[in-house]
Amino acid sequence: MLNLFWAMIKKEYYDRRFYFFNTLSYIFTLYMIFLFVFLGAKSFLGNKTIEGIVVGFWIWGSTLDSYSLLSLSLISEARLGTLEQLFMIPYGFKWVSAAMIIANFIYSFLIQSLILILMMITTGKFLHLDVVSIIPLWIITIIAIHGLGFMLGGLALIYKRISSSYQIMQLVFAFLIAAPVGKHLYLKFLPLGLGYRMIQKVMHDGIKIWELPGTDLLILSFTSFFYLFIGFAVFSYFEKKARNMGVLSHY
Amino acid sequence: MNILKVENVSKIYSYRSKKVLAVDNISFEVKRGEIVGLLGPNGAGKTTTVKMIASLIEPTSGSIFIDGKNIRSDKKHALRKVAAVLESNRNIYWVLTPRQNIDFFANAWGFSSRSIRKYREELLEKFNLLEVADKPVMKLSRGMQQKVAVCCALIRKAPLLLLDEPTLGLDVMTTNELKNTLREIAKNDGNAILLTSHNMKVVQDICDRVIIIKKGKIIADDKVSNLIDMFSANFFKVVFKNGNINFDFLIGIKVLKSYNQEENKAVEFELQDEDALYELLEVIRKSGGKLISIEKIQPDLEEVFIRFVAGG
Ligand SMILES: Nc1ncnc2c1ncn2[C@@H]1O[C@H](COP(=O)(O)OP(=O)(O)OP(=O)(O)O)[C@@H](O)[C@H]1O
Ligand SMILES: [Mg+2]
Repeated sequence: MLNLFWAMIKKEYYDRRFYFFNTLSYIFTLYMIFLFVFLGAKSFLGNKTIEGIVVGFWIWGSTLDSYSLLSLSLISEARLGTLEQLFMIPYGFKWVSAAMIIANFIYSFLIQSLILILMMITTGKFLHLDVVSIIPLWIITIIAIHGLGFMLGGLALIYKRISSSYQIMQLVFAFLIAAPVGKHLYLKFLPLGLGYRMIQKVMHDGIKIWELPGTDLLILSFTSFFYLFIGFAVFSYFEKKARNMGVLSHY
Repeated sequence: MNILKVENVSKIYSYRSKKVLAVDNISFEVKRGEIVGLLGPNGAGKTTTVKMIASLIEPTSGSIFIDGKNIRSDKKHALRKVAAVLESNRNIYWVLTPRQNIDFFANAWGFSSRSIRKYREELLEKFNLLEVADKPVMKLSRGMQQKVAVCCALIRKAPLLLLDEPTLGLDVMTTNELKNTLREIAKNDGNAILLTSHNMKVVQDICDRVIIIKKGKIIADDKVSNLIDMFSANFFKVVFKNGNINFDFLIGIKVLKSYNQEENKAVEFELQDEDALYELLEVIRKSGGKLISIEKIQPDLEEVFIRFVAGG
């Protein structure tokens, strides 16, 4: 099983190395968007909200990485013909996708952290980088997005050409991050918003993970794993359907 | 024991309220070390059958056992025993090199890179891939890519190998190379291979047994030599001298080839009517020809296949 995880991490590495310039231009694009937002925000809102934007941007970038894994990458594997091989791995696709998610976490974290550093240098706002508190919160927050990715990936197995939703989702994620979870309790149950607030508290106010409200931690973990679970259930449903229709590899 | 057992398997595709009976109640078995060719015209149900065995398509009814393990109820164990190349050169990662691909698939199956290194290098050597082993697969020729895909399947040492049209788009040399290596692997390692192909020469040369399917039904399942024998009673070659005959007017004979050999003339044909041979000899004699020889000939698998598909 460890070999499976290792295989995915290595493959991801080779991929990124091969598409090194794509990765660079991706980082550059994200950074440019950030600059745009940052300069705009500075003139409209003053310096107060800059930290919030930096953290929000960091989370947003991470969600894009994660969401694209199970929607875009899965679809490209189907198109390339490798998805069938992944479905034939004896451990089962559950573990295969877990390995893919972990590999994605690692590289996403590295890339987004690089962007974070760039953002901090640009703004001159150096946040509290309390890794012990940040990483678990970050992972739990992002896991919800993998749930959504699974849902879309499952749908895409049957209803092709669904990947265009990616652009729309970029905006949806931005809204979810910005959701005023402090004002409306129910917003805490949506993905991203609550996690973002908690990470912001850690990075901005220097609060430790164990100093955060327990109920919030509970809600965050529960909702994130709930979305992951629902996403996987939806995916499994469509996977079964695709097996019946004989279209696992069609694209 | 049989490595593969397919029992009363059917597949009905339904989409947009249309139903297609792609595989119609087929049963067959494959023994260890055996190479079996699955033949049939386009749309016969070959790919569907192979993908059902690979657990990628759910059968509508029937059961499939790999090494005695039911692929539905004991999928984990069944999948350990089977490897497949289903989309020829598309079943591997084009960004990765052959070595990286082989390692990836071995690792994903649970083998450590160290444990397979020796076998990996052996395979690369056997398939003449050592020189390109560290180039991205996308830079390789189609034939090389296909060979890499086969290596990735073989590295798992699964006792059953499924190959859907492994020689599609390969030139004669590469086809021969693949053919020889597959035969060697079946012989030395005892792997069973189930392959589909439209290349009758490949099938005739490496398959111990042939299953012909048509419209989802098995219409023949026998050793290649038996299938050929079944029809060979009717295949003749007649050599004669002088005489000028238009064979097209003869009823009951299907001319396969007619040619001039130095001063002699010859015709190879399939007899479709018992009396037609005598009629032919009579025509040769009447046109002033002199008979030199009559011999039985062996049809090749392609001829046999065409007869089966046209008839059955
Ligand atoms: N996913 C699918 N949905 C609906 N019908 C399908 C599907 N896949 C195959 N079919 C139909 O099932 C039948 C068998 O197809 P299959 O691909 O198994 O044939 P094949 O023997 O592999 O043909 P070929 O030699 O062209 O590869 C055909 O009539 C085909 O149109
Ligand atoms: Mg086919």
